[in-house]
Amino acid sequence: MSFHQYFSIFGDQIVSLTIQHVLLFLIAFAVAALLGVVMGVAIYRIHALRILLPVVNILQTVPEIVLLALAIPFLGIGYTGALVPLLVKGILPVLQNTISGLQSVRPEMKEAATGIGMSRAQLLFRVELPSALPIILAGMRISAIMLVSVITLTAYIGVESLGTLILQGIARMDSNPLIVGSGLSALLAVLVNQIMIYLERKALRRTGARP
Amino acid sequence: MDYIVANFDRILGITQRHLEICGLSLLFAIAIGIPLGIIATRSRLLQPLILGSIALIYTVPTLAMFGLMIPFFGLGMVPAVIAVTLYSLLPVVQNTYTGIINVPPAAREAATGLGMSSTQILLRVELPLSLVVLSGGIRLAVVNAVGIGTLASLIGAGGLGDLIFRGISTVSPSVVLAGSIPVILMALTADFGLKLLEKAMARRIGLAGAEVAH
Repeated sequence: MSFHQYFSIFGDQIVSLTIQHVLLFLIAFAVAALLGVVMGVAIYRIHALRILLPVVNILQTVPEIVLLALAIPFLGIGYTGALVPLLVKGILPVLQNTISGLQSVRPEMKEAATGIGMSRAQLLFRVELPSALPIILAGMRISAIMLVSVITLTAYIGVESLGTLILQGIARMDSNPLIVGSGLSALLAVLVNQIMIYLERKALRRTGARP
Repeated sequence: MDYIVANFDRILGITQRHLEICGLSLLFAIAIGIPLGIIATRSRLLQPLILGSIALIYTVPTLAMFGLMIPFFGLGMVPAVIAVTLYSLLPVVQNTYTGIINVPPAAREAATGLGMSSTQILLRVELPLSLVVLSGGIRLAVVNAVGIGTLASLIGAGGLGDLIFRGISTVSPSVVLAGSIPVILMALTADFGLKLLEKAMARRIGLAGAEVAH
């Protein structure tokens, strides 16, 4: 089948899989970014939670396909099974960068904020988080690229995404779905990366302007 | 557990295959990556090109990368090693570059003052002083490669992915575990071992660095 024929027959499927992939990404990223920052702040503020850090480091080294495979006996296949690798791989980079971002805030700034009578919550929202923003965004960028990749992989347990096309291509040794699926998911990852780099630069310029 | 005990020899063979895929890829990545990183520090023109294109490769989803190998390189060991090598390049190149760029200018000036040529400066000052950063990059590459290597199974190169994917499709947790446990162990051992090595080197280079600075 020529590429043109393939496209005219499967065009609708390609469009719907792309939309599905993007939607899944947006939901997973929003949840991971929020949870990552909240958990990062919690670990930074509450010293007892630091015991979690070695667990975080170990989970970080576990490959996504292993997380995916290990979750199946408990959560089954499909969306629920995909949750564990998506959350783990999405949250961890944000969490780690939130902690190191908050740690990098200059002590003078914190002292000044406390000196002018800011409460701990004000200190967090008006001083610490804004100055840690570039580092947090860098973590979000890693998380976003990771998520596009993990979503592609979840096709293996039945989550419809651009990965579905790639697996079809591998199973049938057909380069049409292979190239379309791989190309579009790669394009999505590059696009997401560029958007995040843009946001990071913007944040850097804002915090960089502070004395 | 029974599965693992009964098939221990097979699992060992598959693990060996996995190590071959990752080991070969890492060798290539180091052999190509370090010179690319050095070139990036020497040429203002090539620097954005090298770092940019390698970062671009790294963003490609893993499944897409292995999928794209098939139309160009077919199935088996060769495309699998190419794919894992491509992913391992970024940490090696990036950290070679960062390591050399961050060598204190005083050390470089002192070396020039001693009459060293630029090759001598590279081999005897810049590379030794950036060894810690560089090995941090290699550690990341190793941990990544062990994980990404599991996907090699999808394009017929074997490795521990064989067990993981078979375990998923036959819904047999013991087969999944037989593939997953060695992968996790390898990743953790590599991470831990190379971290220790980095610390030991940092201690040595810390002294050497102080000598140069004096």
